[in-house]
Amino acid sequence: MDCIPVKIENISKVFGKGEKEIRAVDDLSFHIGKGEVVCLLGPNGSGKTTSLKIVCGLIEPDSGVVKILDQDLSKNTPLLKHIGVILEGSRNIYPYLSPLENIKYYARIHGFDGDEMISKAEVLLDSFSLTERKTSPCSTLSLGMQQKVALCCTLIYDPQVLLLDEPTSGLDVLTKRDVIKTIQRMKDEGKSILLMTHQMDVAEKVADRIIVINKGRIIIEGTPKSISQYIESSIYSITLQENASAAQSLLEPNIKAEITDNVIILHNSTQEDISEFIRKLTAANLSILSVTKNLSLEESVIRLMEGAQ
Amino acid sequence: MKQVAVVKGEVRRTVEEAKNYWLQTITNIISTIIFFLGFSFVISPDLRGSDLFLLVSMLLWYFSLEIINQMSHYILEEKYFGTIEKIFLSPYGPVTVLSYRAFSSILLSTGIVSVMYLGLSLIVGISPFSITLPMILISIVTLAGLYGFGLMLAGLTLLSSRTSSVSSIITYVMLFISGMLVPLDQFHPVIAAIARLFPLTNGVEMLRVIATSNMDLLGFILNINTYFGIVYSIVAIIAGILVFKYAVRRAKIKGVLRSV
Repeated sequence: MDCIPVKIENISKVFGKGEKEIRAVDDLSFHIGKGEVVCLLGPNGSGKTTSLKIVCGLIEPDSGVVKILDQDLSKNTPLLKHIGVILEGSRNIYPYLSPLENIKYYARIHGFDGDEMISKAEVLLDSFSLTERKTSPCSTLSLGMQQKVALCCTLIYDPQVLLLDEPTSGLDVLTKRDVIKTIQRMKDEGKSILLMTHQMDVAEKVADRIIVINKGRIIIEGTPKSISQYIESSIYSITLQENASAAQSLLEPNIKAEITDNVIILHNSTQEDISEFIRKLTAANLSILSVTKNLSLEESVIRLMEGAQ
Repeated sequence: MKQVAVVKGEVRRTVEEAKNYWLQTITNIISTIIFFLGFSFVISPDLRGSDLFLLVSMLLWYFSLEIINQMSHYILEEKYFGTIEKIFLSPYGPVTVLSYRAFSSILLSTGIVSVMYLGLSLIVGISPFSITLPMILISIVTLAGLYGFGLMLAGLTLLSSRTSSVSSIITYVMLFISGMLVPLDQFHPVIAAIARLFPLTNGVEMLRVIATSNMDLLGFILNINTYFGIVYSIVAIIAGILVFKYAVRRAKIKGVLRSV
């Protein structure tokens, strides 16, 4: 029977004591299925990276359990061979080693060696267009190339679970596309992937499920589409032909709105509110170019985060 | 067999690292040579009869410099590179990976020390073959103790990067109070007691006894101090592992694995 590869049950983590106490993760629970990409979104300091480090055992939670392949990770460290991690803020590679040496080193400290491993390293280097630079010290490579090397170092031992913290940050569009393709390929191969990113386009392209967190708690969880729809149901955007500042006086006091140039965004509005407002705009001879309920995922998440602040 | 892969990985990495830090290695070698020649001919002319003892104990100190400094240095460097967390993600655990790293470092240092031994023995006119088996054995026992001591300092570096600087000072303190230059009984009792806490001290003292009394293998086996040295090293290794594991746990609770 297939088990759920990653289960996070009620994890909490507090750093510091007294006035300096920071609740980084607060009773967080979620799971990642086989062949599923779950994306954790949230503002800086929302507890994303702490959550990721708890999932791979680099930070010990105050409470809660992380189960990898149905086993408690804290009691079974050999499970780490099933986890591949890319951490944000550094490339996790030795600058004085070449890409090939780095990959071989990480394979070996996970117990893999031999001709098969070396062949696989060559294939990985080739798939990331690194073959030409495979013997150059990593310190001489661009940041994008170093990020690709870090990915190769993780993929070489074929982990079942991938935890990726900002794998596309600082990359050019082509490299970013390669990384996105790699994530999609890993997903197709049945790997369970936890992705942290600030880049909504990346989340939109690869995520099966999105979890928005703030102050260590889940604000909303769902597919990219369902999250957008949830927000869309209460936010309308009206575009006028002229500057929209004249519309300010037409708004009912109970309606929260933002006016920027010729765009009016109405929050928590009902269909009736909108109809009434449009009637007033027309009566005031203001030309309406469009009324839309469609927000991008990025706009939706921004609104969620703002609402949670 | 999978552990062999880890050892291989560490040996290859250590060799590549040594190529990268060749200047530092040369500096350490030159420092040791200068200290040895200085102590041998200028500061302690009376020890001329114990040249072999001084040479072997200086080389043992060079080993301690490499092991103790390197263990802390590894942790500090890994924190800077952001690779420390990847070491902790090895299914074999950080103690195993770092132990193999220390082993690789000792292998490399053994090569360097052998060349230094040959060169210096020729300079001071000692036969390279005058080193005895008991001297080699007590050096190995001392190295094991130094590994435990290094692991302790590496654990403390994990919690506070400043410990790395302290480890450098400790190696130089060991040079002067290990009994290599002045016999331990000529120190103030308090300093002598402190000196005995360092793993190098007992090894050096035993080396002095072996050199001055021309102790053979049987005498070495029957000497109570041999067993004292072995017990000390075992205690140092166990203490090192315990301190390191405690530091790992604290670092995971405090979330400071990568803090520099």
